[in-house]
Amino acid sequence: MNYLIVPLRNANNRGSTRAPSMHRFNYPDGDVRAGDHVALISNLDLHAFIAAAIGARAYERDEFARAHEFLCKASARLGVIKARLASAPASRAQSGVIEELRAYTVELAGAARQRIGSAADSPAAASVRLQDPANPCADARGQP
Amino acid sequence: MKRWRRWLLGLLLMAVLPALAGGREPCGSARIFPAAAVNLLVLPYRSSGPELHRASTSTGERLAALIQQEALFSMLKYQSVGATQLYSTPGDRCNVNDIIASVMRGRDAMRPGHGLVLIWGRIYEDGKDIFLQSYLRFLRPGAAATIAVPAVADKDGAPALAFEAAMPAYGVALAPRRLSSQDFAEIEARAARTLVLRPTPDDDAPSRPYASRPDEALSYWVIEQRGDWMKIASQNSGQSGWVRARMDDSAWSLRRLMPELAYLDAVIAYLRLHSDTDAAGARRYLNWMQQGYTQYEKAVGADAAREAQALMLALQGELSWQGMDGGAWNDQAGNAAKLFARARRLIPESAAARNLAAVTEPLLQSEGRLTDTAMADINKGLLGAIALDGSNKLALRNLQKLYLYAQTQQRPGIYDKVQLKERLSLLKHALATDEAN
Repeated sequence: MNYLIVPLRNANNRGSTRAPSMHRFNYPDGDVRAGDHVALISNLDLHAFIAAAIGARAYERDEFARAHEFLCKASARLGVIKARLASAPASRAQSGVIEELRAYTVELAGAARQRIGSAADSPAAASVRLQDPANPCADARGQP
Repeated sequence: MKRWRRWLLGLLLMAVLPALAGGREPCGSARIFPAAAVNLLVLPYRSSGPELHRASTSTGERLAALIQQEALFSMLKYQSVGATQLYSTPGDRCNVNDIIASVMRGRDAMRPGHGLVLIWGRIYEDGKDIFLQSYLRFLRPGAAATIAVPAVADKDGAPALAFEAAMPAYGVALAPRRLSSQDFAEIEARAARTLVLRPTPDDDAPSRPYASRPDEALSYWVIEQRGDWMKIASQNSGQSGWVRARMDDSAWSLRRLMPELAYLDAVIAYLRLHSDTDAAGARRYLNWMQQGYTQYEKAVGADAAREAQALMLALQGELSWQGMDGGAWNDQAGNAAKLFARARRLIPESAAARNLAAVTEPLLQSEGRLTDTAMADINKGLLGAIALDGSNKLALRNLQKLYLYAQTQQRPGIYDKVQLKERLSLLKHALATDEAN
């Protein structure tokens, strides 16, 4: 199964990031059986990439509070995927690629936090301002 | 039999027997069995997708009838249960919220502390394949929606504050499944073969079918019980006879193809456990709860069962939490905190699960004391919850309580005075504006 995160691919094409936008999984993979397309619906991998795509797209649209939330959600899920891949020798290298993507989502969440700056003009922005710009997802950043 | 006569009979039987009953009602006038400790409502599975591939209404209704039949017989071991199949009528979409609202009012409304669980789903047909996804929602009217987590001062152990946390969810979308239409027909045939009435509680006694059609819902009262044999009286035809309630799952083919029914059984065990204070009974229910979940996970795989497993762990944690002795941290509270932490690791993207773990796990280490380390860890965990959902009121309020405590106790361990003041102002803004909306 190949996943292409379109907003990230667009950012790759523009040269604004080198974060990996294409991810290939050979299912079944660890806990993920996904023997057919139906099983993919509840797949953690799919949910993580969708969250990353929504977060990246929201950032492009200057919706920084939304971007921050989805990028942190993506980061939390990617941390689980990374751990799963790292636990098997065959997919250990791929875990490094997922870690690159996870680090990028945290970096972009930090940028979203910075762009909100000192203006807490909405409850969502006030919540984001509680976060440390250097650690924008707190312990939801997805590292074990 | 007229409806009023049926209910009168039911009330008379309820007065002398544990509530065990099944029924069938239109969604628009959904009713439950008020005396039953746990009620199950099975809604029709609604067809979705392009017109060409839509499952026929009868497939969804037939599936609901089969689920009701299987669930009710599986539930008999819990005593005091009722299961009702709801069916749609023209113009009625069987809205879950409307149905819950309707069974909460009136003379036959849900009683405080009793449990209600609803199962419904979507169904989609493509050639010989039937795709379906089930959803569960459950509630206990009148029960506290949150747990209070007491924390004491580090120095003298005096009560300091109480955090609040809720379970990650009271509903779950279960893993989508694919059945073949051949499987479906086989399930119906097997259900009809196993659902037979006998004149005596004996497997060798002659039998006759209970239902005349495969989509016929079970509407009956249990009028006598001997071991795992139940004498039931049909509400539809008035006929009665003995039927064996299946305690083992192997005989039930629908559960093999729809493992979500095992999860449903686990949720019913959780709800039933709340209304039975007998310790031996509680252990049995807990065992069934774990069995049901294990069967589900085994069938769908750990990844597809993540949310369902996390919810089950949190519910077990909640049950353990209730064993706290006068608000003091003990082994049961510690066990609960460990279960909440496991739930958080399974669904790290859930703000509610993070809030629950954030206010319990650090206090497990400090035995309920607000040490500097515990405060720092709680702060970090709550910020993690808020990063995922900036409008999570429980996490925001918990953080506010922590900062107010740090401010009034002059404990600048996590932030200095100026920072605390600024952060409390941000929290007030986030909460005040949020609450105004």
